[in-house]
Parts: sequence; C-alpha cells; structure tokens
Amino acid sequence: MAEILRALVSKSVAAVGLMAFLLAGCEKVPSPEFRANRVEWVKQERLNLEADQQFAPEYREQVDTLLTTLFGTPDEPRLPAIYGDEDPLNQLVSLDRLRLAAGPVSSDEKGKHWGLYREHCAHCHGITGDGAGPTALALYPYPRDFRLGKYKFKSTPLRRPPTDADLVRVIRRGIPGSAMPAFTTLPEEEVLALVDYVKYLTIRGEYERRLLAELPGLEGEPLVDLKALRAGSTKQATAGANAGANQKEAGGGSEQPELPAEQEALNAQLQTLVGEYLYEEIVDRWSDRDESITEVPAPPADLMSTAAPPQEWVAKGRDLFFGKANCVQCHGATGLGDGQTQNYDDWTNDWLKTPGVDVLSKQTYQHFLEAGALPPRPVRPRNLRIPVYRGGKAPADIYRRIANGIEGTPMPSSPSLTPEEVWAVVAYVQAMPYERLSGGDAAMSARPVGGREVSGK
Amino acid sequence: MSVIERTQQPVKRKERAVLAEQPAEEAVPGYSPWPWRVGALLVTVVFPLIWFGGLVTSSDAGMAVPDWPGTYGYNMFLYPFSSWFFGPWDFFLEHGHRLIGSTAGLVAIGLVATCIRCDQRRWVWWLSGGLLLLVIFQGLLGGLRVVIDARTIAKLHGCVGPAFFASAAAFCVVLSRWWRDQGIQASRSASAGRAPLALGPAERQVWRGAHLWLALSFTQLVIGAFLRHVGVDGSPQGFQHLVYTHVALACIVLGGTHLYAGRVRRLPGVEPRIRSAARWLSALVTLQFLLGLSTWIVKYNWPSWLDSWTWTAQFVIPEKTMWQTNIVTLHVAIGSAIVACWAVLTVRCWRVFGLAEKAAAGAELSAERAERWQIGQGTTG
Ligand code: HEC
Ligand code: HEC
Ligand code: HEM
Repeated sequence: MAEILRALVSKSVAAVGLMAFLLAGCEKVPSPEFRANRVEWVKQERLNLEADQQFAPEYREQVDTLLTTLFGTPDEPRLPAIYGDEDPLNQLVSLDRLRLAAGPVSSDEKGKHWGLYREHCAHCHGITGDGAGPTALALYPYPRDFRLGKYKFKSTPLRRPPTDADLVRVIRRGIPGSAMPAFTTLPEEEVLALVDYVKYLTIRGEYERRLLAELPGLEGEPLVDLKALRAGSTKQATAGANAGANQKEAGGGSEQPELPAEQEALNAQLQTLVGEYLYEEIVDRWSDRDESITEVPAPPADLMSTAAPPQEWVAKGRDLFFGKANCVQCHGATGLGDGQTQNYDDWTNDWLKTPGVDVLSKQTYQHFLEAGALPPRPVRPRNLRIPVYRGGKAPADIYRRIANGIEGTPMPSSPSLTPEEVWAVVAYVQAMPYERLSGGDAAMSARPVGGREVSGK
Repeated sequence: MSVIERTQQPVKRKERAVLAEQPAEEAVPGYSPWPWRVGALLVTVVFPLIWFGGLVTSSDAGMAVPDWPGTYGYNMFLYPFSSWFFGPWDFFLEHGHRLIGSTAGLVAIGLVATCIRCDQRRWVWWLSGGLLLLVIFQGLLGGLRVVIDARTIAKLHGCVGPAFFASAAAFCVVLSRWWRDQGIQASRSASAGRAPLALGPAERQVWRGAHLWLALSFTQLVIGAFLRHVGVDGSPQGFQHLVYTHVALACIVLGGTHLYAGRVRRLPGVEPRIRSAARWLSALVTLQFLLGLSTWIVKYNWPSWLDSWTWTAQFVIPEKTMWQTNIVTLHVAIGSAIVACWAVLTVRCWRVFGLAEKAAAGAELSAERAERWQIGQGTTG
C-alpha cells in the first residue's frame, strides 16, 4: 500500500513537473498595439494614384513613428505638450486619467482599477478605437469608429465634437437598441478617465487620417526626417515644435540656442506637422465646445400645458413632417422607417464613396475589406411608431436630434425650420407611437412620452 | 449535481429489494461509503469553484491579485479574512476562487487516501490519483495564468476546470453503492441462471450515443470558453465564426439530447438511473439554450430585426451589473453541469451495458467463475 502510494506520488510529481515545463514554454502574450489605418491608406492610394500604384512603404514607418512619438502606445499613452502648461491638448485630456484607462487590466486590494478601456470597451471599439473590435461584425449598428471624430448623440451641432457631459451621458446611459451598454456601476472617476481616453483615441485617429491625406502631395519626399526624429528624444521633438510655435507667436524669438541644421529642419517640419495639422486643425476644433451647445428654446407655452401634445401642434407637426421638413422621405409615410433604406452612414461612406467602388459588387471593394473595413450595411431610418429615442426621450433631446440632425447618419439637420416649427415636429414625433396608422387624426390616446419635462435629466 | 447527490438514498432502498432474496451478510462483501462521501464532497466543492471562476472571468477580475501562489505577499490562507471578505468585489472573487481551489486540492488528496484505505480496487486508486493530478494541473494553470497572463492558458484553465468537475462526478458513480449493487445483481442473475439484460441495437445505440453527446457537449464548452476569452485585438471574423459555430452546435446538442432522452425513455426495462440522467439532461440543455440566448441579449442586445417592438428596442445593456454577470455565469456553470451529467450517464452506461455484455459473453462460463469476477470488485476495508 505504502509502496503504491509512493509510486503514485512520485509519478504525479514527475507529470506535473513536465506539464509545468511545457507551459512555461508558452510565450507571454505581446501587448496589443495600435492598428494602422489601412483603409484610409488604401483610399488615399485609390483617390490619388494610378490603379496599380502604391505609396512607398517607408511612409508607413514615418507615420507610425510620428504617431508613437506624439501619442505613445496602448500601454503607455503620451501627449505632446508643445505649448507648455497652457497646452490646449493637455487641458482637453489629462495624462493621469489616460494612464488609468490605458494598459492591461488590473486592480488592487483597495479596488482601484487600471486598464479600464481594455476591460470595458476594447472588445467592441477595438484597441485603436477603430470600431472593429472582435465583436464588431456581430453587432448592428457597428461599434463607433472614433477616428472620424463624429458622434451621433450630443448637444452640439454637426461638425462640432461632443461635450464631456455628452460622452459621460452616453457611457452612463448606453444607447438603447444598440450594443452600446450603460455603465451604471462605474465610479465617476473611471467614467471621466474613459471619456478622456475616447477623446485621446479620437484625436489620435483624426491626426493619423490627416497625415495620410498628406502623402499624395509629398511626391516622394519624406513626410518627416525619421533619423532626426529618432535622434532627438520626444522632448526635443516637441520642444522643437514648441520653439517653432513660440517663434511664430513672438515674431521670431531671439533666445533660441543654435541648433544643428538637421534639427532646425526637423523643427520646421514639426511646426507644420504638429503645430498646424494637429493643433490648429484638430485640437482647436475641440476647444470651446461648451459654448457651441445648441440652446433649446423654451417650447411654446400651450405645447407643454397638457400631458400629451395638443392636437393643433400635432397637426402642424404632421404637416411639416410630410411637407416642408420632408421627414417622410426617409421615415416613410407610415413613420415605420421604411422610406429611403439604402443609405449608408459616414463611417462606411468614407471609403464606399471612393471612385470605382460599387456597393452592389463585392469585387470592387474587396481591397477595402482586406484592409480592415467592415462590410457595408445600410442604416435604417428609425421606426418612429415606437417611443424609443436612442439619444434620449426628453423633448429637449428630440428637439436637438431634429434641429441638429444625427451626425454621421443620413438624418439631416433642419436649418430651415423655425424653433417653433421644430417644436411642432417634436410634438408630432411624440404623438406618432399613439396615432392610428391609417386615418390618423382622432386616434391619439393622451399618453405622454418620457414625461413632459422639457429636458429630462 | 443533483444526479450525484441523490445517489445515496435510492440505492439503499433498492439494495434492500435486491438483497431480500438472500440474507445480506452472507454474499455481500463490505462496502465502505467513505470514498463516495469524499468524492461527493469534492464535487460539491468544485461546483461553486466553477461558479466563482465564471464570475472572475465575467468581472475581468483575473488580475485582481497580481502574485501567485501568495496573495499580496501573504500566504494565501493567512490573508486577513475581513480585508478579503469585505474587500472590493474583484478581489473577493479572485482570492475566493483561489481559496476554494486550494480546498478542492486538499479534498482531492483526501479522496486518494480514502480510496486507498477503503477501496480494494487498484484501478480506483489510480483513477483517484489521476484526478488529483488533474486538479494540481488546473491549479498550476490558474497560477500561471496570473503570473504570465497568457490567453492560451486562460482558455485551457477554462476547459480543464469543467473537465475535472465532470471527471469527479463520473468517478463518484464508480464509488457508489449502486455500482457495486449492479455487480451483485448481475452475478446473482447469472448464478440463478436468469437471462442477462438483452443488449440489442437500441441499447448499444444508447451506450454509444452517450459518448458522442459527451464529446459534443464538451466541444461546445470549449467553443464557449474561446468565446469568453477572445482577446481585445482578436479579429471580428474569428469571433463571428465562433459565434456561428457555438449557435449551430447548440442547436445540434439541443436536438440531439432530446432525441437521446426520448430513445432512453422508450427503451424497455432500462436502468432507472440512466433514465433519470437522460431526463435531467434534456431539462438542463433546454435551460442552457435559453440561458445562451439570454447571455447574448444581456451582453450584445436583441438582434436588430426585433427592434419594431418597444420592449426589445428600448433595451439597454446593463453592463457589469449583477444581472448581467449572473446570467452569463449561470450559462457557464450549467454548461459544466451538462458535461458532468453526460459523463455520469456515460459511466452508468458502461456499468449497466458493460455487465450485460460480459454476462452475455460469459453465459457459457460456469456460474462459479462469473461469481468471482463480479464480486471481486467489492471491498473489505
Ligand atoms: C458590446 C459592445 C460595446 C461596448 C462594450 C462598448 N460600446 Fe460604445 N458603442 C457600441 C456601439 C454598437 C455603438 C454605436 C451605437 C450607434 O451607432 O447607435 C457605440 C457607441 C459609442 C460612442 C458614440 C456615441 C455617439 O454619440 O455617437 C461612444 C463615445 C462609446 N460607444 C464609448 C464607449 C466606451 C467609453 C465604452 C467602454 C466604457 C464602450 N463604448 C463600450 C458598442 C459598445
Ligand atoms: C435622409 C433621411 C432622413 C430624413 C430626411 C430624416 N431622417 Fe430621421 N433618421 C434617419 C436615420 C437614418 C435615423 C437613424 C440614425 C441612427 O443611426 O441612429 C433617423 C433617426 C431619427 C430619430 C431618432 C432619434 C433618436 O434619438 O433615436 C428621429 C426622432 C427622427 N429621425 C426624426 C426625423 C424627423 C422629425 C425628420 C424630419 C425633420 C427626419 N427624421 C428626417 C434618416 C432621416
Ligand atoms: C445548449 C447548448 C449550449 C451549451 C452547452 C453552451 C455552453 C457554453 C459554455 C460552457 C460556455 C462558457 C465556456 C467557459 O467559459 O468555460 C458558453 C459561453 C457562451 N455561450 Fe453558450 N452554450 C449553449 C448555447 C448557447 C446559445 C444558443 C447561445 C446564443 C448565442 C450561447 C452564447 C454564448 C456566449 C455569448 C458565450 C460567451 C459568454 C461570455 O462572453 O462571457 N450559448 N456556452
């Protein structure tokens, strides 16, 4: 008996040792990296070069190095700070918060978490924020690709980025009817870190697109002198751009130390590449967002006086819906969303509109799919016969959706409507779910939608 | 689980029936219930362990304790109880998972000792040793997963856990009084010259089918584990294929299990324990299918073609709430229970049909010899 026990034990130890040895051979998984925007690359080639021509592969390295120098990696985010303490990018995004959101997932005894983006968002939005995380193909609509800098549900008008409050709201409340979850259990600090990380990925993604758009104009010249860039540390590089910027502001500073000619040339390059393309064209757009919020004018008094919108407003809204505002074009005469159903959103149109691409024939865009584009799927206009509003159900939310449109989608803004007319359309939209499909008028049951508070919460 | 739990009581009742023909002391060698008891304890410890493990994955808490085998520098068992129990949720899960895991290891050691002490069957000793090996391996995988944080290991850890659970459950069948009684019954029938259980094509189908469905259910579990551990930089195409395969196999397993249970039900004179396991399986698989759909909904929302209903269109995914986490974990846990159930059923088939096969083969042998090889499995300790 003891013998057998001994044999058992010794054999087990040997076997376990062997297994441990085999497993120790497993490589530690490499950290994920930012994925290059190959779709934009291919698009720029098709827009600017002959059918069989391609950009020199050196450009890829130059773009990547520049991006890494300025923005770091998924594990170690970085921000250029060329304007010192006043740097607008550093005021927009806090590096401390980025560090909380970036990196691999971990937490400590006290419950503090790191790697929030990878824990909560990356499997849908992708490590790069390209909206092509592993789950993407299984979801409709696709997760947001942040790199275009477009957002649907916000308080600001088209072409203006959302406010932090808008992003917090989307993360906290989720988007009904889509895969975007409501993160109700996260502490405030973590949500704010995620908001900053979303802005970071967005600006990084916009900047990469901006750089790629430069390639056709270079005609073989390098985008940036890599050797000089690598020789100087990041600090030098950003200080270089900084020097350029200060010079510009101070009208040619005098206390600049003498720099080697190479460094001088690099600084000049960086002044355009960073100072202009990044700060002036992209970061600037993000400043003063709070001032650009679309104010929602008070609704006409009698509109809000009853639980359900009064008939005359509903009737006025219906006329606009079918007439001047032409909502019927997409949402259909029934409002079921069965009007124009073959439109694509901007994230798809971005490459789908490239000459030579025909959505009906897959061969014409196979190269885009291979570059990582998600297959085109039409956006469906919303079914307005059900009282569900992804951007919020308060009248003020619906007002903003109609007045500003929904960025990135066919849903247009309505500049031609007066505020009063927009309110009338809101009244009709709110009444639609309770209107009989045929006939109309009398069939309104007096049920309020999402309360009659103008601005929910 | 409950299949296992119920092993004790009805056996006693049946034993009385079997033994009514002859005085018990004479022919029945001693049977020690201890190995079975320790085995059942092991199964009882491992099920919550799987639950905890599922919660660890769902909450992404795997890295809440960065070191291993220690816990923040403490010996795992000495880590202050209150800072763990009342600590953050992730930490509670990960450390708790390690505590239950170590307990399972200790029980597995106890099982080997008990088997060697109380059971004479050598092959049972070896099996118990194999089980111990498996649990050590699983613990090692868990530890390595923390130390080198590799996805492959996380996946392997996610598949070996249920495999261990199923093996432990199946092993309990071997240790049960029922197992022994089957042998006694068969040898009595043989010595009394009664015809053994007929082993027709229908029986053989049930016997073989158990293996097939055990394998397919485990495959389904492995695909599920891959779904759960897909990396953040995994390809969308890969994930989509996994989903399609998981759903297709779910339909096959669902249909197959019900057909199988139907076949077992129609089998005349089938051993009640095989029938009850099959019944459990059709219930569990149906539940599991619904849980799978629910898992999808609470993680990725309703399919978009259902968005003309207010009820589905307004649904917002309740991320990282108890709701979401527990539905997903229930799906994971029931998945393990299904595999364990198939394993138990398979072992029961081996016993019942295996004996019948031997009896048929040994019909020409003398009753005396038949007596020897069947009773020989009893114990004296
Ligand atoms: C299960 C998949 C999933 C997860 C996890 C997820 N999202 Fe999303 N997210 C989506 C989808 C799908 C959309 C697009 C919805 C739409 O277009 O209507 C979206 C949209 C967004 C938007 C754009 C909203 C707008 O107004 O355009 C932001 C910002 C966002 N997500 C941030 C996050 C953050 C931050 C996290 C992690 C805390 C996260 N998401 C986690 C699927 C997900
Ligand atoms: C060119 C097509 C088009 C036109 C014209 C159009 N819409 Fe839309 N509408 C859409 C699409 C597409 C969506 C879905 C956007 C998305 O992907 O979230 C939408 C969404 C909506 C929503 C849902 C907002 C939410 O929060 O979920 C409302 C309400 C709406 N439209 C009202 C209107 C009204 C009122 C008009 C007329 C003033 C109008 N639409 C005109 C295409 C259109
Ligand atoms: C009856 C058949 C089914 C069985 C036996 C089964 C089994 C499993 C198991 C065991 C796991 C977890 C694996 C692990 O972590 O170890 C799993 C995961 C999963 N299953 Fe199933 N499943 C079934 C049906 C379905 C169906 C119909 C769906 C619907 C889409 C589904 C969706 C999922 C999903 C999404 C996961 C991953 C959960 C996560 O990401 O955390 N399953 N399945």
